[in-house]
Amino acid sequence: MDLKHLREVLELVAECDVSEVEIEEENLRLVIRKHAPVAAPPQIAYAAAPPPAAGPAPAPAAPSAEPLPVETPSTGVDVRAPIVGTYYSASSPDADAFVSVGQTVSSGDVLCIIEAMKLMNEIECEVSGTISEILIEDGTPVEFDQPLFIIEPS
Amino acid sequence: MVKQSPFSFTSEGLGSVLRHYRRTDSTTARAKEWLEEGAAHGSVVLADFQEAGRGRFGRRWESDSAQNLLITIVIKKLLPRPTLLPLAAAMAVYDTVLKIESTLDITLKWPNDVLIGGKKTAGILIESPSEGIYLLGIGINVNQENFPDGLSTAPTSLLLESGRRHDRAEVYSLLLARLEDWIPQMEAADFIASYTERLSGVGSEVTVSGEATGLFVGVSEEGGLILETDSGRTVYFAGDVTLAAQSGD
Repeated sequence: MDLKHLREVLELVAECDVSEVEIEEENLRLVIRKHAPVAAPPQIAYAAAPPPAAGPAPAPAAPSAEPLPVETPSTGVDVRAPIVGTYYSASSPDADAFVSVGQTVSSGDVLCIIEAMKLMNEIECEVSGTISEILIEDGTPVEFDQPLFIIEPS
Repeated sequence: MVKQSPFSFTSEGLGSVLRHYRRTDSTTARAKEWLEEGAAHGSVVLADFQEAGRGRFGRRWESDSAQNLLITIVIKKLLPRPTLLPLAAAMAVYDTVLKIESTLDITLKWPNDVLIGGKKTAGILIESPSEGIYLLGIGINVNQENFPDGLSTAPTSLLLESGRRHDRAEVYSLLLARLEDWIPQMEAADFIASYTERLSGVGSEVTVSGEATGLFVGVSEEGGLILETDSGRTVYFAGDVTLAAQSGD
């Protein structure tokens, strides 16, 4: 892959709504992740031989060209209210909150309750990761699609 | 668990399987466990005594042993408007009480408290662990004679209001039959009108959660309380409603 080709690939990835692209050619494996930590350049890894199919990408080597400015959106995934109602962080006032900032969560874990019409809807996590922000206070009203949490996917 | 339960309801749907406990912490907690074991739609957990019965905000639901009807029903059904389920349940309780004691002054308080003579006699709380699964908890004060002092809302029972004791098993089968009637009617065009007929406070000035005061003009298609104030109409989907003649929850 020459530099021109690499630049084209990076520009294409920057323009498209994809989070990760992996290209494998003979003696080359290129991984571009848009969800890299903010301000980090895209990870570009060259490998002499095909790497294992699974497992982390090798440590990034210095790219031979200056990294292109690639938009790096917020790395977190926001969890939004699926319904209108009242937000509760715990199952009862004396209970511990379902989740707290810094806590690791798995897909399917209960994050909170939204009550509408005395119907207590348990809101489940759809990704696995770490809670980086809780955007709402216990007992307050929520609107449809209001962001409630930000989760850094693992 | 009770081996020979007097509670039965002949149905292909609700109540087709029953777990009857003499005492347990909470029928909804048992129903949740059962759900994980694969409880079928319509499975019912019934307790003679709940050690940790609760309402909203974890409020305790005080109940003497074997005097009241305390159940949680597992409902597995995709509901286009799930916020109407609490209303359907309240209507089923309302109609059950009316069937047993037709002369009592029964009303509903938005969204789903059932009152006799303005006093709470039944509570409904629903948990939805995931879409299409609802644990419908219903408590009806049937034969309880005394209630602890200091409760925020004066409770009552069918016994205290009618002067007669009632067979809990009869209340149970009537209630399940009416739930089977009302739950499918949640999609009917006149459902909200039927609910509103049983509702108190419409046309009165009310305060929602101690914050907004206005005219309670009606109920939205989703079951929300429509409040009209000087700044326009707002629909509430949660909150405690205080009517001029009643207070608390």
